[in-house]
Amino acid sequence: MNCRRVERRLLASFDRGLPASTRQSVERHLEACPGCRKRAGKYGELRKRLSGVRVPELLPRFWERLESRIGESDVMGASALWARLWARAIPVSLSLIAGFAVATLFFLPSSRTADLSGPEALFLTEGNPIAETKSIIDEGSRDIRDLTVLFAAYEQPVGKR
Amino acid sequence: MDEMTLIELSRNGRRDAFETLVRMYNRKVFALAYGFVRDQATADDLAQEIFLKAYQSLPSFRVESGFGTWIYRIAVNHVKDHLRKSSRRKTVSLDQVGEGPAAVGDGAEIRAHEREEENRRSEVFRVLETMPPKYRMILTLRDVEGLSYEEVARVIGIAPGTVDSRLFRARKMLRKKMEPYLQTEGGRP
Repeated sequence: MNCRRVERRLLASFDRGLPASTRQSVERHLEACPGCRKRAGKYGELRKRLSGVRVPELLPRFWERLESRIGESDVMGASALWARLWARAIPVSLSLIAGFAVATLFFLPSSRTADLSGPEALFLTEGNPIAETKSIIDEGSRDIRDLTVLFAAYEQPVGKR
Repeated sequence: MDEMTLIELSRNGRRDAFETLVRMYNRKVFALAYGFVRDQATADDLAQEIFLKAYQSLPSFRVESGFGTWIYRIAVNHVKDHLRKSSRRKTVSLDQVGEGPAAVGDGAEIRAHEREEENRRSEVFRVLETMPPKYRMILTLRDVEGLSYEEVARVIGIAPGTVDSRLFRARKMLRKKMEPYLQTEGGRP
């Protein structure tokens, strides 16, 4: 068994022991090899120092201090939740307002209707041209009626009729 | 009341159940933190933060891992973060080795022999601080805290075979770094 293998076996023995035969060959090697013997001693010393650490006591009232931190974190958690909700509410509100504005523009009757000619206005506002003509015929004298019917298609703003 | 019942009650907001869990594990968690930072107040503060994290993470706790392993895993990750942050703030030099013990107990009451022992332990812990975190972690869990191979593997999240090889390399590195401070001769497996 060479020195490197002995070192590996030696360290393994700290954790899970060695089979009797392996242990004997490691011991034989250590007796014959001063370098490995020294190294083994150093590993033993290190192990002793590491495992011999004295852990002081916990500081007093560990749970009470922790409980107050938990309480604070719950409050902060609730505040954070509200903050998150607010943060989400702002873009949602803005998109609702924008949607409403678009819908208003799209569905409201256009003010440009006032600039349309009589027939255009009738056509676009789904008015009834026959009823319109009938109302013209029903009013006034025959001459005026003829002229009015004749020029009914003149492009005049609806508001002036 | 068994551990699982306590966890279920804690998840449902029962502080008294969580208190019982904390009292079951607070010394172990504190000892783990102390093994790394070697300062009572810092270790206590870390232990508090670890349990706070555990409380907040209770909904994500999975039964199969066991509360002990789970809290150790949180502790190891938290301590790792702490060490990473503190290593940015200060660098430990090997020249500091042998400057004296860390603040443990009342120095005036410790006898000369005990003080000597404490000095030696402090030396090894100071050297430990200069090692890569993965080696420091495994040495602390196995050689300082005395966790079994399987526990170390579960806590760090590596295969037992990796624990074996990493532990070997870590011990070897520590021995080399400690060479000037060790004068022992002889030894048996």
